[in-house]
Amino acid sequence: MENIEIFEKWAEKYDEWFERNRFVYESELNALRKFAPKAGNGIEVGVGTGRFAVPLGIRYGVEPAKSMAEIARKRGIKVYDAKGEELPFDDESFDFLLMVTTVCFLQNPFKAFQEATRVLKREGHIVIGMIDRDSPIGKLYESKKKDSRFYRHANFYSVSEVLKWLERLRYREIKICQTIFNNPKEINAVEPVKDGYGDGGFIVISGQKGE
Amino acid sequence: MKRSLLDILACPICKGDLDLIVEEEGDEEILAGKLICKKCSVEYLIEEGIPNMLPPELR
Repeated sequence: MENIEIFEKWAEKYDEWFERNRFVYESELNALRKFAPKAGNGIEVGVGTGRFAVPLGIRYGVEPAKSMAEIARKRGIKVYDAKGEELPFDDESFDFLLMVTTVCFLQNPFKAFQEATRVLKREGHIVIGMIDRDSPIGKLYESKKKDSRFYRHANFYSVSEVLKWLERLRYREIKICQTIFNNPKEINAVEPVKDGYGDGGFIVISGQKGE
Repeated sequence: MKRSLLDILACPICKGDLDLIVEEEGDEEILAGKLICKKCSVEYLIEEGIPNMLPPELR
């Protein structure tokens, strides 16, 4: 519950981060663009203030922190007050589902993945943007998280943990790319997006729902 | 909330279908009312056009 309350309280501070860290934001967006479908009915779980959904053309979002959802609504996203572990949608409702830096704030990430899978149409795509705990930047974030308003209660996961969940849920056509190779505080240009994982702090994983 | 959105909405707890009770409706959207799960009877309020689909303990 603590994570939702933190975002409820600090929605504007959260949103300002994207202005102050323009190059990190742009790099992450470029990595997400590589795998986010260009067409179809998409939803972002943990849509926050809509900083990713808007440029990626996603019209629907789920966000439990009301003050964050309010900002996303002003940006034109249809946001439901709901949580990732208990999605308020029928089975097979969406063509794709995005989660960006959401997994680390979930109470029960595997349950949220099960829910994501349930609401995806057959052959729909899941796209996950996350901080890789095992990467050099992930280790830095983990060591400094006590100092961060937002990451204090975060649980970072490794790419291999998320891949195991996707395997259990029978996803196929798994693709992975990475960005943010330098300390985010020192980045002064957009970082490249490379295939695979291990070096970059921000990872995007895409998978297609099986039969 | 637009009426068409009801097509994809389900109870977040039991995934049952929802009944819509409208208290106030504008030109395009339902502004106030509630959604009631046909299966488990939990109610979800619609206020200022926004349905609150959080489970009761998180509202």
